[in-house]
Amino acid sequence: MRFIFVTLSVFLPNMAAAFTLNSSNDSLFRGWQNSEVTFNVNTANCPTGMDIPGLIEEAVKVWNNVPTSRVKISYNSSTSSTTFASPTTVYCETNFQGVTGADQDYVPAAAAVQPSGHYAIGGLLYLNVSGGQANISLYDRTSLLVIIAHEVGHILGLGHSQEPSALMYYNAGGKQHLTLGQDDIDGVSYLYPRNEFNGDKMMGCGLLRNSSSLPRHPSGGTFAMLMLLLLLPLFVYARLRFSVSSFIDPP
Amino acid sequence: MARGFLFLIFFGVSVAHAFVEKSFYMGISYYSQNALGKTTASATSAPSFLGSPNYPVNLKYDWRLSLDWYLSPQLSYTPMARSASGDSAKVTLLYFVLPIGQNLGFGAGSHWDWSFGPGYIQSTIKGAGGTTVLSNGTGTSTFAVPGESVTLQTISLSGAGAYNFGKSRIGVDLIFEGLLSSKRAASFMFSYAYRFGGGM
Repeated sequence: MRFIFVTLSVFLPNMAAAFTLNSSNDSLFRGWQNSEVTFNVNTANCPTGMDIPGLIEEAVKVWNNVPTSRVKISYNSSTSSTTFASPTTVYCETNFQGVTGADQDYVPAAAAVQPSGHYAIGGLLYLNVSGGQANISLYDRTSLLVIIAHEVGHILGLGHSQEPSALMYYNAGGKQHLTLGQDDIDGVSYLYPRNEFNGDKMMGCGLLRNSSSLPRHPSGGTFAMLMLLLLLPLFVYARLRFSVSSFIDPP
Repeated sequence: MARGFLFLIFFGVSVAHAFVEKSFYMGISYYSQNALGKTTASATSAPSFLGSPNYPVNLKYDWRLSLDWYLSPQLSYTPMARSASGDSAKVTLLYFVLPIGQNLGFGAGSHWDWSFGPGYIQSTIKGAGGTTVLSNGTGTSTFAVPGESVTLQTISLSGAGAYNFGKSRIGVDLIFEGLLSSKRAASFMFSYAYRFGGGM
């Protein structure tokens, strides 16, 4: 009995918390209608030498790698825009506090989506390059990746989480790794659910090849692959039975 | 003939075999979803060995395919949904696996078996709806709580091993999702089951 209690005490505290949506009142908000979410970057005021597109491409991997979500996020191209758009605009704002209303000494980035119905139709991600203490040039690379991945989560349609281990927890200050919590995984899976019986590739095959410059993985094989998997045990059985029969009753 | 006789001695005359023809098992499990560093449970976001906990009930049946090989379908379902704090979302898990397995019967004292095969995982995330007020760093903001029910379906591949004693079976499954992509994730399932019926 003591073993059971000790075991439960180890496993039970690891409970999920509730993700929320990037909307103040719409419980039916579903993020972007298209699960291929892209970003255009305006580097005009960004710190010299800081590769913002590269940071975005690296930061979004953590969202792209969720096994139960179909979302595919990528950098698209450069832009001169500083307004809501689709693909989402990313730019460096010198008047960060004045434009976003967020404390420039505390908040390094902010993001918002433009809703229409229950979907997002435009997105805007601000990077703080003001004179405040939360200027992005003052952060190391890991912190920047965590910050950008958090804001990408907002662009996807997620709000904050009350779970401290979640990437969508409001305070990224203590995070030393770019890792999702189960709460984040639940959230992005809720908004962009993966269904391998309804168009999504089996076992993730080809899911991340969303760039037109990359060769597309052969598609249309979902049903065939399912049949192959289901028949695999029978195939192995047939081979084994043949081997065993030969072994027991040699000719 | 002699080789066949030796084969039977080594593989067929074991007293305690793990898979048992036409036997039905029922038990409980600890299903650690997205384990091996896929997720974090700490505020520092350090990757965790264990994933998110689920507690499914298991049903399993063994069919003999050949001398020592079995087809052993297993159905797992979480009657108690994984609950979000504040009960704002609940996640249920259904896992069906169709493995082929073998008894590792090198004598009467062996109680081990192993298996592998494809599986199907279905998760349902059901939100409670409404709104909640959370910190945004410098104040608070109101966020909508998910209000719909969403179903996720994935195909998995799993490998498993188990130890059998009496009519009890303790097993561990390693379950892969998204195996062919960077979405790859591994989950563990530690299970206990009791055998009802079935022959030797």
